[in-house]
Amino acid sequence: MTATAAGGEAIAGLNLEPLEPSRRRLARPRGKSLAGLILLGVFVIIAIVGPYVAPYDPSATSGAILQPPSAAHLLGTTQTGQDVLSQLLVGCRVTLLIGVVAGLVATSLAVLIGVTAGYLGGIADEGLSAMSNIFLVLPALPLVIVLAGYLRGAGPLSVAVVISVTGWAFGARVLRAQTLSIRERDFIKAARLKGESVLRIVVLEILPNELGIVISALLLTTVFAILTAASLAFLGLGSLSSWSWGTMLYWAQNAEAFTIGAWWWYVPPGICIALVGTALGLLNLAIDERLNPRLRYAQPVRRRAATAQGGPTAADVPALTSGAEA
Amino acid sequence: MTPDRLPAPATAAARPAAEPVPALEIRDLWVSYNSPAGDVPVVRGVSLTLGRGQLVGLAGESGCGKSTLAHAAARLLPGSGHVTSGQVLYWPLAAEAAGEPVDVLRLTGEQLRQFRWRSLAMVFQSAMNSLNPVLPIGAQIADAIRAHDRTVSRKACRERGAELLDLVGVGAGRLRSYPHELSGGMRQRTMLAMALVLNPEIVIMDEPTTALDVVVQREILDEIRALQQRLGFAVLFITHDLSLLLDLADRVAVMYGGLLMEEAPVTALVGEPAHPYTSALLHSFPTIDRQERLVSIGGAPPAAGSYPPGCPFHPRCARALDTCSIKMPALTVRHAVGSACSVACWNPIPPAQVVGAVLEGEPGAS
Amino acid sequence: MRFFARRIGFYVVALWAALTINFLIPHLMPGNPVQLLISRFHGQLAEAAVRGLEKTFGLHTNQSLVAQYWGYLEQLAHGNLGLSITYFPASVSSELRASLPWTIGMVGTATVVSFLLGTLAGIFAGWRRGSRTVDAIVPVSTFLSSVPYFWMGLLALTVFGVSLRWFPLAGGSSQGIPVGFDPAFIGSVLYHAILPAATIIVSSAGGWLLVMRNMTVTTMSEDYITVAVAKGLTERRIMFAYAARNAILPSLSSFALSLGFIVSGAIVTEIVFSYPGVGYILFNAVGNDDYPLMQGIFLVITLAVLVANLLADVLYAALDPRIRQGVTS
Repeated sequence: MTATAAGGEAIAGLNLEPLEPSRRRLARPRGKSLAGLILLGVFVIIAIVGPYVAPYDPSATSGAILQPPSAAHLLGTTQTGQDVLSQLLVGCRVTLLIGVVAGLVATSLAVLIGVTAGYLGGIADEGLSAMSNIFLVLPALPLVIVLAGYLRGAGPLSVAVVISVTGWAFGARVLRAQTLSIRERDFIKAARLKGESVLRIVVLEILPNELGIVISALLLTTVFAILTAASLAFLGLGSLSSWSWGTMLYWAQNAEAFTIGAWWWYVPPGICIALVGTALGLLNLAIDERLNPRLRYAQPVRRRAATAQGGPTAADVPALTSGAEA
Repeated sequence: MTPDRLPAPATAAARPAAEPVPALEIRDLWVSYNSPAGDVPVVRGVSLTLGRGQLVGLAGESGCGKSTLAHAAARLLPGSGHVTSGQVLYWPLAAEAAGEPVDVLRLTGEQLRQFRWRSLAMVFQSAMNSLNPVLPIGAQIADAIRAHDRTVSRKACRERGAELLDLVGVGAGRLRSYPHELSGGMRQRTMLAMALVLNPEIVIMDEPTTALDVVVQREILDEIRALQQRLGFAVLFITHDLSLLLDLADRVAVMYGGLLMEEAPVTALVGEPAHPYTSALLHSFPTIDRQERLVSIGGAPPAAGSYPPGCPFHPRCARALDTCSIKMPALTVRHAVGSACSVACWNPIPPAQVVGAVLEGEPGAS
Repeated sequence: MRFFARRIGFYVVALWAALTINFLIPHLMPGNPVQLLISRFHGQLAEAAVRGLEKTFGLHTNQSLVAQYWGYLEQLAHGNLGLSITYFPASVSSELRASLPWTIGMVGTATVVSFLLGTLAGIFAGWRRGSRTVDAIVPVSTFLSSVPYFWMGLLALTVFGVSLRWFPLAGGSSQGIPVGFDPAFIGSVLYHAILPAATIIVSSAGGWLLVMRNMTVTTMSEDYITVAVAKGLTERRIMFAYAARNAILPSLSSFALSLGFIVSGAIVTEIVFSYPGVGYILFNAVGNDDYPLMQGIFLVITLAVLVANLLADVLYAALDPRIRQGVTS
């Protein structure tokens, strides 16, 4: 009567910290961050060299109207004969730029407000927290739409600023919580007793410990910014004078590209936005796993460990339940 | 990794017909964990017997493998841990006539689930986090009941829960309380009540009082002793504090470096410890009846995976011989003292001589 | 109950903040919006419209800012959000009253379904972690939640509406069917709602899934799960009553953030599908520089979001006794 490897799943619920990490399992976060970095890198390169390698001027019209992809136009043309590939390449820069600028501004605001609130405590904390909670709960897009509506015609930078104004609250809340817990740690108390200035403590002692969270907030806010900017552009509220992926989609929608099936026009920009978002998302997941060790170690589904005399191994340990497996 | 020691003595393998049937028997258990360098053995061939209604204490420093042993016996090892060889046998009271033990390590599926808690229950170290924070404790007790018998009515579950909470001194009024409403001591008593809900024959307690203050600790220990004598279950009491076992246990086993060093009835162990490590432990805490210098054991226990060859204690042992660094001695019965005492040592302390068996603060013996 | 008092107090403050922001925006923006509109309509705005606009914005220039603010609040108290320019002389409130039910119906349902679906999937993804197929769901969800809502909607429209002709292309209900609580109308409503709702669900479920999965994995390493296994509880019981019930709490407490994304997505989805909800009206308002309507919509959406947050707080308190009793540790 041999033990059957019923079910095969290891005890799902028992992630006791192993003595040392197994080489196999550590591959997981590395895989994610590598994929994310490569993907992001591709788009960054395109953003930098795009305008120089684009075969045509994205705004240049021509007689080749609504052509599917061909040798002359690798991604086809628009309703006014403009080259889709060139628009994609050139538009990458503005899209990423808005995202990065908005992300940086919003995260800086979040750090400023969140860490200050967490560190100072008391009335300052109450006030700043109330403010960030309010901004958190107010729906972002309608507010952005209203603001952008008034600022119609302003450049991409204004769009970025408007988005930052609505996107900083989430990071601020997380950073405040983290600062609150770090503030009580002994090494901070020691620094305060030593008489170190508040600025020194915050910049040199607290922030380095929150670096992971700050980066995570930066990544998430950038994704949010890119998506919001694209939505705005699609609604006709972005800066229509400069090319971005959202603008491409605006013109595509205007020309009813979706109903006439000009997929080469609207599919590439959408997929590119999704890919950039995915890249940032994967990086964020990798950082999450780094910060939270419990997420790191996955149990292998089936362990075929060599045993001394063929005795029971973990693979024979069934899932927690009763009749779930035969 | 081949065991660098002599094979276990014959007395442990067979079960002579005349001896009383134990409740739980751990035979030559080896448990390892995963690591990048391969499998790290943490329990290296431990044999332990728990008699019916006995309270056996398992003492040892952190990292000696006692907790792992308990989890392995209770089939609660995490996925990264696994039993590489050995047996865990359970003799249910009801089936005693038949004489066939249950092979705990080979249980699967529904059989395993039914075995859990009904036959073997466990009280964990940190009751702080051992209770589900979003369910009232009555519900958590009821869970244990209904997991094994769906037909039990809610009323019956409530009554049983009330009965148990009264039994442990928490009070039936607390059935609807949430864990955060209870103090640390009350939470641990609740864990105790929950462990007894199905009248298990074996209860393993893994450092149940470590997280509590001394006064509460005393109360809980008294409670455990009283309950055990009243209900008759066997207890495997794991602790790093040997002093707790002096008033509590029937027998004590001392573990070090993944191996059993000594095992004896408590009076024999305290009165005439044979292993240098046991003697050192006994001298490291103050007692009322003796007045002497407290002695700490020089050096530090080895980390799993980097055990020295031979006897793991030899670097810190004053009585170490050359053989000690080559071969690990087997656990042998000390017939001179009594058939119930065994020690694993090449140079055990002779019965008359007890003091001075340890190096004071100096690491390593030659 | 102190918990609820605090939360409601907060929401009242948030509402007040929204109202005030709403009031300040036109005053802070460059230019006088009324003048802007007048010039945009080339002086063709009727006198009544101009007066109405000024009243709405509280731009009676002979009053101080504070007085204008009070006037504005007074207007709001009477439910007077001003007159819409696009749908002149219809009032903003009447436009909102007409479009709100569509949004709440479609978007509300889609949000609830998305939450349930994403959370359940997240529990399973976390529980069965370690198998390749299950872990693959993580990058897939990341990708899906990075796809812009409107793009997903347009794609769905093209594939299912134009090419396959399975679903209608626009509108809340079919043209010929009169409004009423009869099966024909309701059936038509459902038929039109499927595609936009599906878009919302597919785009947003991924977010819920990821959060829930991470929390489930974290929760699984808690001691009380080990105890639950030791007690011999069934896998289902442990997964739901012990793991999921604890893991879901952060999702509920950060509901505000997720809702923000969903609202944005809902707006754009309505626009793509020409679904006659609040988002669609907003789009038209933007196109016509209909500031009163735009701001009225902002207020209403804010109100809806606050109510939804309150509901999430209720659910959170129902699930976590520590919150109910105001315990901080």
